[in-house]
Amino acid sequence: MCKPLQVKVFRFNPESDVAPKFDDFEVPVFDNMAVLDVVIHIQNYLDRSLSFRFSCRIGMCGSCAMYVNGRARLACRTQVSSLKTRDITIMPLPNFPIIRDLVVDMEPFFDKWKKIKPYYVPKRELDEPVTVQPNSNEREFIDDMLDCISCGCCYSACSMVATNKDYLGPAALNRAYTLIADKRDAIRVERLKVVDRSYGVWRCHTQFNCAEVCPKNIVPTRSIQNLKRRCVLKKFGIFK
Amino acid sequence: MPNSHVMSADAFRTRSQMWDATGMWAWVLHRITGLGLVFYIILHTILMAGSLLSGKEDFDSTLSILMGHPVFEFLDILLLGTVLYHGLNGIRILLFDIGIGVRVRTQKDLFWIFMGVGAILWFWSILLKLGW
Repeated sequence: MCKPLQVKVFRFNPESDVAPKFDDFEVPVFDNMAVLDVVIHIQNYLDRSLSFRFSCRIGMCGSCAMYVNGRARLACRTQVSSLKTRDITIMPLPNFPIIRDLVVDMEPFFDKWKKIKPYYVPKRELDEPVTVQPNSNEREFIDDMLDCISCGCCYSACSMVATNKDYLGPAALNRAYTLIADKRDAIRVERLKVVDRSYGVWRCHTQFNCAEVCPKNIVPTRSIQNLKRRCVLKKFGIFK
Repeated sequence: MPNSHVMSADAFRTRSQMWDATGMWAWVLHRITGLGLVFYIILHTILMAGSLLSGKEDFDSTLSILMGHPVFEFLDILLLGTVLYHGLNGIRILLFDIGIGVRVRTQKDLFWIFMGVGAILWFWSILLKLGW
């Protein structure tokens, strides 16, 4: 039998606690155990008041993102064995207001998501549907970036978000790029105006923290760098 | 509005910490060396201009202190290291701007390649300065 895990969990209830604290739990290990199994075990058998979010358990919904041993990770996709230690510290995602324990308020994240109008707007004047070839470079690049599940890991890892509350953040900018790079979109220039600001793409300092933690292996920095180039082209009147 | 009670500006939140990420350290050191160089240029300009304006003798004596004192020899080496780091990491950032190396693994490799080149140049310059 393996030694049990020593788990430290961040606890905070704004309605009753003055300050946050850590609770210690001893959790038995089983094969292929994920961090999500750890918190579920704590809630089922050790402390029913522990709050956290989860839904799909297969890395699709993006709701179980937590700050585990110094990194934002999806709890369901993080194997305990991959942490290479028996000591696990679980905290809520940084840079988000805390609702309770490991549950954070995603509203600031989605407010910024909304600013870039995250939906496709078709061109009305076209008679024929525009096609983008599946094997085109443009398509292949956008495809990778479309994998985003808006879990907020990148947003929580970004030190520019931590130091500037207005910065749009990696996820919103990545989403903006997928639409701006889509030639069928009718409001590409309008979108580019939203991101071409000091709190938009120019706030990114290419630290790659977002890409380091992305559970879907997206590199938002790449999208942001591409957006910066398009912003420069727009200044010279080349981007249309 | 849901969760409005936690949406106030003073709502408790932790701040991001990515201290094990290469890109994060590269940026932190880039800022520190950048500020250091700005401070150096201001100091250098004031010192040189001040001693030049107050006459030939003053300028010569200032230069003899700057060129001869062991502390300033050490600061010279430090200045070269700062310029090398800031310059080489600056080239790395410029490469990102033209779309080269914008991958998690590649940006780290680029960083260590540039740091390797910088370290070789730095030690070579130190040896030259020491007259070896």
